[in-house]
Amino acid sequence: MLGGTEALPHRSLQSLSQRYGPIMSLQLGTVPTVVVSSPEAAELFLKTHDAVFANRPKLEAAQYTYGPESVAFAEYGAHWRGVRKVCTTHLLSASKVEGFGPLRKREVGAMVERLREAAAAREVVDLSERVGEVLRDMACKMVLGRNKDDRFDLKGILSETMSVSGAFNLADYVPWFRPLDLQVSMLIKKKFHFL
Amino acid sequence: MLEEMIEEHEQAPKAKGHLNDFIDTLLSLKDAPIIDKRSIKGIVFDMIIGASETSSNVIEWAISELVRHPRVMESLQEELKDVVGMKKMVEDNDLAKLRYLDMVVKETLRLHPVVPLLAPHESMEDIVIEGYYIKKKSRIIVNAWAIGRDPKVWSENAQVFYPERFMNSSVDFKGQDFELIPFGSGRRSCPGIAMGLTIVKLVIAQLVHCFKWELPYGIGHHELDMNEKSGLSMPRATPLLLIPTYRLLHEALVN
Repeated sequence: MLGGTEALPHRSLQSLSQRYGPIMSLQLGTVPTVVVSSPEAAELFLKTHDAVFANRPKLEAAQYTYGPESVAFAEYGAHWRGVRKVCTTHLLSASKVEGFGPLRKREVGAMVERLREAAAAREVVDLSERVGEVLRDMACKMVLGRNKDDRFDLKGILSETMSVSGAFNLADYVPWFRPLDLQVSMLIKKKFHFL
Repeated sequence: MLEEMIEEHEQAPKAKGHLNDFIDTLLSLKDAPIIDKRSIKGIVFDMIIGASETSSNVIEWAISELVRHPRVMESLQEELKDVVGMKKMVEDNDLAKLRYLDMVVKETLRLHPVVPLLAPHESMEDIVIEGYYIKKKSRIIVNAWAIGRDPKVWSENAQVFYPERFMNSSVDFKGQDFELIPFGSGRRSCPGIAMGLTIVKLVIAQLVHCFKWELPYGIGHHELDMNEKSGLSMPRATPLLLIPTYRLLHEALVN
């Protein structure tokens, strides 16, 4: 019914909602699921009744990482509220955004320089790769203070983390990918021993 | 690895003028009972994932749409020429003046929300909404991607990349206008919008201002593959291959 594992979940769910409406209730495996697909319905769930829906499901992949202690996937409650507040007031505030201005200028400037060399040589550039690299470098410098480390292959670890976190979307966000879970969990267990 | 990095941050003396990274900042708050080592690792992990892949996907979609729509690309380059000028690169303080860039970013996020199904929510008690009985511990999936492309919401041209639709509109993506919720809304919405947008806008503006972009191998702009693949975020299915030509005046080199 859902078009197999090759269909993209947001597309499959869009066609279902065009048939069954903006609030659809589905039983996917063992998980009762409600799919919301209109602005009015989204407002009901995310604003009108947001206190009822403020929790996150326990994602299996997150158990192998820092899910429970992190912000994005932490259980709703005092701990989550505290940690989120720390993030918004100390890490992601307007003054922090401004404080990283020189870092952005340097990193983006260096990217432009490298692209200028490619332009002079009339090269075809893989812009996805170039942009991805600069953004990863900036994220590492902002968070860890560095983007290179003699002891760890930071770049390798990060790109694996990214691809694995991509995989847990499929298995965990949308429960009909459950059959993949075992495989994905094993993969994540293997990859995340670095961190 | 994070363990070692945190310890290093604890021990290393900070030079004057040292820019505090997130680990430094979190360690300085360690008296706050909520912040222990395990929380620091969790936050660090989220911030790296949240800050890099999502932002780079928005940028690659924006450039893809601009390449497919030369008229829009030209309008954006005109704006950059007026506001920044051809003698220098874009700087942070130019960003607030770039109104057309704002519209381009909104339109990109409408058609290509980075996390198409947002992060799932879970109900904490039984509730009835619009006649639906929703059991405690149900999973809620919001299809932000479908909402952004709904012709009932965005008119018949919903599938078209047309930044001007935001010209005389107050619709924004901060979570108050439910037709455009790429960052979610409410208490679980993305806390990093300001940081992310600054980076995204600066990189798009810089790429568009400094270079002309052409498709290689004789591919016409209508033929550029716009398929996405699924992930935590929603990247292009194929890498974006382009040929850049530098377009600023020579003086801009001395930056």
